[in-house]
Amino acid sequence: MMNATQRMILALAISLEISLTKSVTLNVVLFSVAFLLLLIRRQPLKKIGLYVAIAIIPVLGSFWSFYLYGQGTAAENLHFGLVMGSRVLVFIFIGAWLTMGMTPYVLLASLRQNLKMSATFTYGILGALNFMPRFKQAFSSIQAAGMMRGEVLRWWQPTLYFKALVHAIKWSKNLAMAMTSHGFQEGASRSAYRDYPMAKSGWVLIVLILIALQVILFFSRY
Amino acid sequence: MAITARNLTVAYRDQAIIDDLNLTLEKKTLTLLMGPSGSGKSTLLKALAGLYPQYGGQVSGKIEIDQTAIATLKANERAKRVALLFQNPDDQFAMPTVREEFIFALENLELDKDEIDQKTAWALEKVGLTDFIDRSFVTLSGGEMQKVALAEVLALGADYLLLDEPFAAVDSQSREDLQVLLQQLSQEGYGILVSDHDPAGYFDKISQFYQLKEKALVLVPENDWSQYDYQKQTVVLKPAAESDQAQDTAYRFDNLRIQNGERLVLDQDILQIFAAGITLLTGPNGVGKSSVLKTLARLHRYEGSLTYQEQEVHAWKPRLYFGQVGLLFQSASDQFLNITVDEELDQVMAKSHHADFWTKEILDQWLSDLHLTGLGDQSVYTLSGGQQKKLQLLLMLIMAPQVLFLDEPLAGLDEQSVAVVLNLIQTCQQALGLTILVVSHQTRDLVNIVDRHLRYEQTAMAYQEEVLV
Repeated sequence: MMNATQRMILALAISLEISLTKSVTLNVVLFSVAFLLLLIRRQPLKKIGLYVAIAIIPVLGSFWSFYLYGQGTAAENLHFGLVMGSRVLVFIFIGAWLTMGMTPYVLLASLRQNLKMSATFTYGILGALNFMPRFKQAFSSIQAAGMMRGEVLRWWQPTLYFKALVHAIKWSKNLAMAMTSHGFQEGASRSAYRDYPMAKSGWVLIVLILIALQVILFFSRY
Repeated sequence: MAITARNLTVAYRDQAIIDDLNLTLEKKTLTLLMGPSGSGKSTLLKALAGLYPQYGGQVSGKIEIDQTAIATLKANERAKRVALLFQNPDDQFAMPTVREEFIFALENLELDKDEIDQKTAWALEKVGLTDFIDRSFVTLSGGEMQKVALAEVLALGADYLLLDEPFAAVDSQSREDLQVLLQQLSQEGYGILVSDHDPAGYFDKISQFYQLKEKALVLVPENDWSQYDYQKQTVVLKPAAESDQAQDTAYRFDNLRIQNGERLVLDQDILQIFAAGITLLTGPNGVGKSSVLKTLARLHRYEGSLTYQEQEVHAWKPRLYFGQVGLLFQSASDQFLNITVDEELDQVMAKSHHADFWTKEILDQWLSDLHLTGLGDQSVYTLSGGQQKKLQLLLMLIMAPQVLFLDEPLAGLDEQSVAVVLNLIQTCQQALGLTILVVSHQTRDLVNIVDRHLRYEQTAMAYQEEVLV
């Protein structure tokens, strides 16, 4: 079936398709399928709830703005509002389906292997992800350093970001040195411990799904 | 078969860090390199590992590894011969788990899956961490991380191992284990160079001992080693004159527990930190001193009770708390807020809690004593390590909060600067009645100005009148 790269390609294709079409039916079908897949693959309900929570404001926001402030008739505005709202919902749930059961490591490693993405870029991103928890710590420490000097650094103040940047530069330099010391060199060839093959069956599935989308679009009346 | 450095000079921004240095590191030897922090130990090790000039620094002279110039080797060829273990264990892994990290490193050598599995298993067994293969790094202690780092470079196949203060974040038991492991590896044929500022535990294991002094190496003859392996002397502090003032309490600990990662570093029943005066906190490397200072400075979680002025520390509003309490960070750059030296000084002069004490004349006098005059327009980030440390300390003493925690305030300072800095700390403390708690390895220097001494062993602290110096 599909590997991570193929899933990414399918997700991009679907996103492109719904960006260029105005079918509420298609969007609803896509959302329902993605939602069902999340349930079938036993994703924690808390996680699904989180996706819904993330979706609420942008979905309602885009629906209301096109429904209330659209230029057409009331029916046209309702349709367009529903298209835009459901489109956002599909984007979020297609993203959820893409990352389901997949780590950033697997996605990046297969993109690197299948699409020849640069190793420097892959490991750069992974390094940055590993730094994330430390950033939170660094932010509170910078704010404390400010308060010890009688300055309250708010999130909109550039000093905070400047200092965070100083931290990030220091970490990334240390990490780059450690990587070099462990034999990593930009552009050098490396072996691969794991293979991420793109199976033919995956491509067949992608084509079938894309054909199915065209069929739904063809019969879609709303 | 050796790593040799001939007439090696490494400079940053035209300032030589090491100058015209010669060194031979042979296989089957264990070499200790000592020198105060800031003396250029890290720079030397990074140069030997071939990381300069790629990561800054101008290098002249020759570094050869088994007769091949190191500069001509590709990174993956270099990694098969020489490896560097870094000071901060957190910074040296690109991947989140042990297995992924080994795969990453061995893929760089273009090994296939079976070779990777086999080398990973061999190396982890060598350091006794076979069960750790699927552990994630966030769950490892400092000592375990350094062992994994050691296993990683063994798996890469390096014959020469360079370790840069590898025990800075390692508890004393792990330190001993690792020292024994290094001795075994050197007997098996590895050439190992360890830099450390603390000679404890080395002298029955090493074959060579160098001091890094004034940018050059001095070989210490074996007969003189005993001088460095000094039996620490005990200094007895004068008992605080309890009669002249009632000893006020600044902090009260009650069943306080502090974790560092997975490890419990402090489990303290009842303890108080007295207001006014200088308290010295000592303890073995990695025992958790920095975690305790961070906790006191409201930057680390704790369980149990820790009160400042009878109010729980986490219940204080941060703004109010940091209006009274300051921490001198271990890394000077963490303290800076602005770009230039003048901007920094102007900021603290405007916000000082004791503006009446800190007049322009007094500031100028201290700036000149600390050799910091004439740096006004310079960026604080381009100052030398010693200048940064002195400026950092001056900034916090100008702020002069009621309570000040100092984490290694003397690190990287030369002897003359240490004297001025001690004088500065003592002067401010006495004039302004500050409460100061200081963590430092340089106890010999500090013992003359401290009023009390807290000894931290295992997971608890207690007051002692004797200080080992």
